[in-house]
Amino acid sequence: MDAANLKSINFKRCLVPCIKILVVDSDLKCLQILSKMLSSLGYDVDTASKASEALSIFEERKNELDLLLVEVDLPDMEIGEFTEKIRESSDMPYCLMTADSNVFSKSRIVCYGAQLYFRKPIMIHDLTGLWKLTTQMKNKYKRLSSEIAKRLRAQQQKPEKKTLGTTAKNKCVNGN
Amino acid sequence: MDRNHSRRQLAAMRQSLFDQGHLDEQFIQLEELQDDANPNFVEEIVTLYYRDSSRLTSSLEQTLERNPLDYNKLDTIMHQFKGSSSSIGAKKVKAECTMFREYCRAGNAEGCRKSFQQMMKEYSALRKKLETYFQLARQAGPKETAFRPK
Repeated sequence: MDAANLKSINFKRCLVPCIKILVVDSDLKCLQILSKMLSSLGYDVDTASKASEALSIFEERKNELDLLLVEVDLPDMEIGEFTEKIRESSDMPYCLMTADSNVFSKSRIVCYGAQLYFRKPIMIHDLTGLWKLTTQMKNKYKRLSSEIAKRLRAQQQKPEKKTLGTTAKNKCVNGN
Repeated sequence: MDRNHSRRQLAAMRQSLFDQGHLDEQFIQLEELQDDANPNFVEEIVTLYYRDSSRLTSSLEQTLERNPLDYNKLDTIMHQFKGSSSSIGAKKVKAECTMFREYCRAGNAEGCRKSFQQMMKEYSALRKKLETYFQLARQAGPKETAFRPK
């Protein structure tokens, strides 16, 4: 197989299709890099460079978005206020990011309700698991788990039926 | 023939940028994001960086002219600048930013000014090297054409 062809196969793609992420960062360069990283992983990406812009996109398209990735240092709003507004109108998960290494050396990080806290510069492999945080995935897990639980319960009830079956089997064998 | 020569030159220049510590793995990450859809991705990002960061460096310059120095303000601006520089893998620039912030915290005015000068040297040197690098890259042409099966 051609080395060049192998390179074009993306082994890191998002495992769940149609996950939409809104990235918020006033640094346009970061927005571009993150956008590119996320779309190469298979995510749908939307961007905003200000808190106000992000909030209006959020209000408009709450039902389509799955996750927010937000830079802590936004020019027009404190992160505490921004995340509070998100929490007020939905239970959409969000992740925060910062270039400030001091934040991570403290023994307690104020997370503002975030699922994850990233330190910049963000590496592409940091982003591969974001799909697991979405409500979509949590709902799928819930459905799967309840389905599995149902089937386990069903299996545990079978032994009574089995006894009857065995008797019937013996009859057949004897009959032969 | 010419193209192969350009490509070798390009590879050598790229390697020296890493060997001399101007760039780190973050730059490689950017290179990996470059593809047919965005064939000049790295150059675009670097251009954006130099454009955005010029207002930060001007701000630093102005703030350093005051007496006494506003260390908090300097630290805040430098923090932004450092973050921006690290996102393109500007290793030496980043190191100077760290030094600068140490001087800020120590309230060392002389140290701050010297460190800033040094940082600007690295910053401009990297810009020149990257400009040359991207020019070479454009001359060398896209990598894939040599390997694309007919």
